[in-house]
Amino acid sequence: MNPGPAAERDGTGEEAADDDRLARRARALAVARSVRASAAGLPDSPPAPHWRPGEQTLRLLTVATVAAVTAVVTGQAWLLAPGAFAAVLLAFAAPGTGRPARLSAESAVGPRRCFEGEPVTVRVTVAHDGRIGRPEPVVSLGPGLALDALTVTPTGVDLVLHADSWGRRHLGVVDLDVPDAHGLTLRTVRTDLGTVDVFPVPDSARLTPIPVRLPERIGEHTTAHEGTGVEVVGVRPHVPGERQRRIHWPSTTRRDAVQINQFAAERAADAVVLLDTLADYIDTATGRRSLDETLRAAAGLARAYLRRHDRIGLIAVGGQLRQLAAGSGDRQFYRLVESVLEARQDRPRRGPLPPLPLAALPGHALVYAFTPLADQRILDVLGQIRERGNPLVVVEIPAGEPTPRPGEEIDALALRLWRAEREAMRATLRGRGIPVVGHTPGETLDLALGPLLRRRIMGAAR
Amino acid sequence: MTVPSTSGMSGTTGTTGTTGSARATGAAGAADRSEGLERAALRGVGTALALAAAGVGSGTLTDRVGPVLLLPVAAFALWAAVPAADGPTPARWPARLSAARTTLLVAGAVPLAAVGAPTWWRALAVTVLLAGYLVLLDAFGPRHPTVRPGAAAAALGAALLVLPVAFAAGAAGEWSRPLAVLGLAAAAVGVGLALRPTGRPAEEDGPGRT
Repeated sequence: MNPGPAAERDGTGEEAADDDRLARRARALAVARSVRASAAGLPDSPPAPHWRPGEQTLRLLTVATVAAVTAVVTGQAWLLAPGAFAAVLLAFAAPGTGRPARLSAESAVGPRRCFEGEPVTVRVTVAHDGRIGRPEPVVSLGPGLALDALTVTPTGVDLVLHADSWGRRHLGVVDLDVPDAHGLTLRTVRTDLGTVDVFPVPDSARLTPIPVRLPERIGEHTTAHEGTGVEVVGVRPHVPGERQRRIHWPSTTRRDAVQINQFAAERAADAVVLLDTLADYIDTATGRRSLDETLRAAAGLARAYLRRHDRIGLIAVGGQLRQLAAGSGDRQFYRLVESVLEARQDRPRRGPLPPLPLAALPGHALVYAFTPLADQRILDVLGQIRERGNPLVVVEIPAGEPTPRPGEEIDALALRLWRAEREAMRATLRGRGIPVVGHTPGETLDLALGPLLRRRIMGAAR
Repeated sequence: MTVPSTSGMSGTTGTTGTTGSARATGAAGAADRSEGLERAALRGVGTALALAAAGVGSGTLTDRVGPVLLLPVAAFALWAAVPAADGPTPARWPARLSAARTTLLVAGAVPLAAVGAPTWWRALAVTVLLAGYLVLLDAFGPRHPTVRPGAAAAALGAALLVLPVAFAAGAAGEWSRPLAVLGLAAAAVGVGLALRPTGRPAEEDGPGRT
C-alpha cells in the first residue's frame, strides 16, 4: 500500500525535525568545545595525523573487553552476551575501503579587511577522496575575536566572527574531527584561518584647526594674505588691468573711485598625528583601552583633514618607530591606519626613545600628539617637535585612574600623587605654550578641538 | 570569546515577523521538551541497568551488602546516564572521568552483574538493558548517531543467541573461558585492522589551505 500525501508530508516533517534536532545538537557540541578551546588559547601542536577510535567505538570496545575479561575471570558464559552485542556493533561499523586516504581542510575567509564590529564570514570545508561522516568542528579563536554564529554543515562549518578592536588579528584555527562513514574511527584535520586587518571606527570629527603658517598649496583654509579665494577680506582702489567683476560697487559709489574686492588666499594645511604607543592602559571603570581610543581619535581627525583636502602624515612612537609621509586623498586614510595595525604586537621599548624622523615631519606642519600622558618619555618627543618649531597640540587620551581600596589612606594618598603628577605634566606642556585638550571616548573630537578655533595655532620660534 | 546561545541556532533560518518568531519560539520549546524526554529516557534505562546489575537474589552484591547499596548505585546511575555536553576531551583526569561517565556506567554494570550467580532472567534483563542503553546513548548523545537500526537488531540477536547457550544444561564454564579469550583476540585483531593506515600515508596530506 502506497502512503498517501498526508503520510508523505508527515514523513518529510519528521525527517526535517530529526535533521533540525541533529543540527542543534551538533552546534551545541561545537560551541561547547570551541568555548573550551578558545579559553585554552591557540593550539601549539599539530593534530595527530592518524585515524583513532571514536567515542562510541571506545565505549563499545570497553564493554566488549570488560565483558570478555569478566567472563574469563568468573567463568560465567552469559557475560559474553553483552560482549557479543558490542562486538557485533563494532563489526558493522567497520569502515572497509571507503575511508578516505587523503583528507584536508580548506577555509575561505571574507572580507580580509573590515572595520571594528563588522562581521567576517568563514567557511571551512573538508576535502577528501572517500566516504566520511559529519565533521565535528572545534574553533580556537585568536585574541580579540568573538564568535557570532556557528553552523555545522555536512562538509564542515560556517562561522561568523567579529573583532571588537582594531589590529591585524589572527582569526585562529579550526580543527575538524572527521569520522569515517560509519563513525568507527575519526581523524582531525586543521586549517589556519590566517589574519584579517581590522580598521578602527574613526571618532566623529569635523573641525580642522589650522596653524598660523600654511604651505603654499591651494586648499580650503583661508589665510590672512590676499589671494584668489572666495572670502572677502576688504576693498582697495582699482588698478588698471583688474577684472571688472571684482568691483565693489557700494564702496565705489561712496568714494567716487573704483574700488576692488580683496579676497583671502586659500591654502591647504599639513598635519601629522603622533601616536603614543608606549603602553596600552585599560580603564578599569569603562574597560576601554588607551591604544584603541588613540587610533580611533587619530583616525577621526585624519579623516576630517583629508575631507578638506589637506595632507596628513603619521608617526608612532613606543614600540617600533613607524612613520608615514604626509599625503592626501582617500587612500591616505587606509595607508595611515595600515601603517600602525601591527603596533599592538610591538614589544615595549625600554630606555630613551630614538630621535624623530625628519622626513615624516614637514616644516610648519601642525602636529597632533595623541597620548595618555602616562609616560615621561613622551615629553622628550614633544620637546623635539617643539624645538623644530612645529605647532603642536596634545590630545590627552584617558587612561583611567587606579582604584584605591576603601578606607586605605595610603591608597588615597597614592591616587592624589598620581593625579598631581599628571597635572604637573599638563602644566609643563602648557607652560611651553603647547595646548593640551582632553578627549572623552565616545564623544565627538570636536568638543576637544573646538577651543583651538579661537585663534590659529602657533609654533615655537626656531 | 563570546558565543551565541545554543537556543539561537534556529536564527540561522532567518525567521522574521511575529509569526516567524512565534514559530521559532514554539520550535525551540518543542526541542527543549524533546531533549528533556531524551534525558529522562537515558536516566531511566541507565538506572534500570545499574539496578539490574546490582541485582536482587542470593549471592548478588545487594544480597551481601544489603538493599541500602541500591541507593548509591541508583544515584550514580542517575548522574552518569546522561552524557557530558562536549565529550571526553579535558586534560585533567577527574574531568575526563566525569566526561566519560557513560562508559563507566556501562562498563561497570558488567562486573557488577557478575557478582553472585545470576538467574537467566536477570542476565537477560542486564543484556537487554545494556543493549538498549548503548543504542539510546548513540541516538540521544551529543554526537551524530552512528548505529544503524539493522546493525543494532543484528547485535541484539547475536547477544540473545549467547544467553540460551550459556544457561543450557552442561558445562558452559568449560567453553566460556576459551571463547572469551578467542573473542578478546578477535577484538584486538579487529581494532588493529580498523585503525591501520589505508592508501597513502596520512603524513603526505597537505596542510589545510587557506
